[in-house]
Amino acid sequence: MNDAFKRIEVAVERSGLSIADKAGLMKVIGQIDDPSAAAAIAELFESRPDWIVRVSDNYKAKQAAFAANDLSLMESIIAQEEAELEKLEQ
Amino acid sequence: MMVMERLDLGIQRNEHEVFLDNGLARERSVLDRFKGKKTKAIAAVLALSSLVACGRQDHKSGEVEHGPKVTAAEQVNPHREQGAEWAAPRGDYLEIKTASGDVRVKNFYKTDKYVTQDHETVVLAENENYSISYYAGDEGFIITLFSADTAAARTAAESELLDQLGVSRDDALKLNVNERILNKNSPDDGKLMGLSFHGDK
Repeated sequence: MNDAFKRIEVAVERSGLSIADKAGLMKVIGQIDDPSAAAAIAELFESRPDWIVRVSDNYKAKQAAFAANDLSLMESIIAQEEAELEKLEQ
Repeated sequence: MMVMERLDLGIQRNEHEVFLDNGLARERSVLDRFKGKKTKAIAAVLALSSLVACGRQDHKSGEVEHGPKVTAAEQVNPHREQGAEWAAPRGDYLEIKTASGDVRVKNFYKTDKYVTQDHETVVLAENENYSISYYAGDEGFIITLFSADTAAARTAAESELLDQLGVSRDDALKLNVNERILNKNSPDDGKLMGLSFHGDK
């Protein structure tokens, strides 16, 4: 495990997420295959722990949308995702 | 492989699943929009969360798909495909695959504290000093030590792990077990370690 992933793991462990939510989020994080992206996420999670919760909530909401085959729910989740990314971009 | 390409692969592979395709296509448009911007990494993670949420995450660069990984839980509970009702393994023992051969453990689904909603995580113990979790995905265990008295918490957690699994130290060392110290007051905060008796072998 490289340093960025360790930093992400520690940040996630320190978050107030439940064990189940931490596991879900780490499943997503485990999919990152670009070290520079992992470093950027480590940076974000350390400086903005609120994003740990945002990404976790986003993942759980998508799971619910996919499970329910609810395209309008998926659309609203992604619209919110775009808005949050826009805000972070500024 | 870029996340975009992985999203495309996800779309092409299962064309009949229209809903999933639409969701992923929408996600791809977001990723396109933030390409080259400073938020591109988090946009990629949010896109990955879509892939994982719909179960199409297995397209990493250079990887050949070998079919779904069979976990200890699946050996005794083959009804894990989506939509099938999940049931905890009923037998008295589970076989956990390791690099050093299969390790037979007591069925900890009978002694756990709880199993998470997605059935991927089994929490064997959880208290103010430590937690012990099993992840079905990689058949690994993680012990998290919260207590200021790390040594005592470690001894207690390892003892509980051996107890619940009903395995010897030698067999425990074959398993994928990691321990993490999480205590901001400890100089070892964040440290990742193996089992304490690793050096005894």
